[in-house]
Amino acid sequence: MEIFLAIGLPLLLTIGLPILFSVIGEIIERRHEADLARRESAIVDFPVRSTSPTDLGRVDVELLSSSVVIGTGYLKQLFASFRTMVGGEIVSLTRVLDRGRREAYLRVVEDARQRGGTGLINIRFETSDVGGQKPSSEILCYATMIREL
Amino acid sequence: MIVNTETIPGHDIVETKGLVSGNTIRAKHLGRDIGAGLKNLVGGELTGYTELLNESRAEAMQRMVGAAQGMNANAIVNVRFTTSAIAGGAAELYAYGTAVVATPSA
Repeated sequence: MEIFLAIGLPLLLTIGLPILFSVIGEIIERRHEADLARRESAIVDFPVRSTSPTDLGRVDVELLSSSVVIGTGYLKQLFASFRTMVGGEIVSLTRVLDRGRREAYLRVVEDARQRGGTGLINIRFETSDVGGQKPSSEILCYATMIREL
Repeated sequence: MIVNTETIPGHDIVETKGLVSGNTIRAKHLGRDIGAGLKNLVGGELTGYTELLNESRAEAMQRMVGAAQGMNANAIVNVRFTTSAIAGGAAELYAYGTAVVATPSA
């Protein structure tokens, strides 16, 4: 019992918990990715442009925006800090930001559809660091919605 | 009307009033910060902060619209946003654009 408390408990806290958290994180990530894929298939036919065409005729316009704050998770952050020592793509973080960006994009497109929009023009993405000590990023997506009259 | 394009589709800009902007710095209470810290152990969306930034952006936009109304403008074009973290758990949201007078094109 004393040996367990002296060795087992610190070991459990320093190795076991981060592994448990990253397993939970992985489950959340997979569910989110499945949810994104499902929602994306519903909006594939919605026209979105990053340009701003002027020959749209008589239309109604409205600015839409949505932002998502996404946290990287403790273990991923740790791996990323190792990865920066050797260089190369940090795949786990690419995945996190990709999820956040797709989520922000989906929210804007879904919002546009709900408001009766017929398209989005001049769409822009912006990423900024907001977490302070907590490693997290804000992904902002905004666009001008057009509604044909 | 607020757009992030240089012109307004379906409208003519008849007068340019000038640059308008709005900003706000907001924070969530400690409980939300702790919640976000816990959520970050596993990673994923930090809903409390998403809410914070969306509320703040709406507030900054409201202030920008107020400035435009003060200039007797009826639209804002070329709107841009910036976000910066100034302290743990607090963020500054800034929105800016050009106030104009627009009329539906014939």
